Amino acid sequence: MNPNELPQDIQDAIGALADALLADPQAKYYQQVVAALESDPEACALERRFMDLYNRLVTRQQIGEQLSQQEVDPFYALRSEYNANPLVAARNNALGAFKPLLAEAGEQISIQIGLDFTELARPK
Amino acid sequence: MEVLPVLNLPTTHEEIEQIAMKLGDLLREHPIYQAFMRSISDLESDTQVSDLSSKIHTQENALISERGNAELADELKRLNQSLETLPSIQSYRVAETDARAFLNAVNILLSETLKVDFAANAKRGCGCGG
Repeated sequence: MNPNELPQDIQDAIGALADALLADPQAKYYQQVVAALESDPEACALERRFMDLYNRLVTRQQIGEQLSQQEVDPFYALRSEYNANPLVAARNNALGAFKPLLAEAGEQISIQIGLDFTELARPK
Repeated sequence: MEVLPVLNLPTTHEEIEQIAMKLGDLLREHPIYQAFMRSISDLESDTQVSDLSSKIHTQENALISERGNAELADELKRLNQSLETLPSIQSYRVAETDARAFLNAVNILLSETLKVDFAANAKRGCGCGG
């Protein structure tokens, strides 16, 4: 379903929840560091490279392929470089601080619908 | 009495909970979600489903004890296939797909504004990134 097809009252309630979450200082800080990361071409390229390699290796493992040490070593090296990037680290830390608030909101939605929203709302 | 300027305060956690609850209420009342909940209820009261599920459970346990037994594995496969042909299971599968698409659309809209995958990061007790 396209999000634009949702009834207006639900779209309004989603907007209200997003606004309320974004008013929180942790969320504001998260938005700031995301903007800083997105405006840094070097950090963006590093993130793309890391995610591309990660996804490629995960996909291969999921279909039962064994990864050689020669393939795993460059991954570890890139992961270290990625985690050491100050903008990436700041974004990840900010997200860690923002998550408890997201979890509170998610839990309230789940209570109301009687099932785990965070599980049902993600692609299978 | 002097009128004081309005303070621009951050939303409290209680307010966020209230707003999230209101969204949850609207989702629960939506026809797609109602149909999904009805399909779960139908499934739970279907004796054919519970009988077959119980047989599948027994067969799975037997297969754990006798790993590699092709006959048991074939029988388990047959039972699972039979389960999938039951009308209440088929209705449930359709309703579940619709409900997931509906809730996924909610998540996409919320996540776009927040610049973070809401459902992935709102999971309790998950220390993983993403």
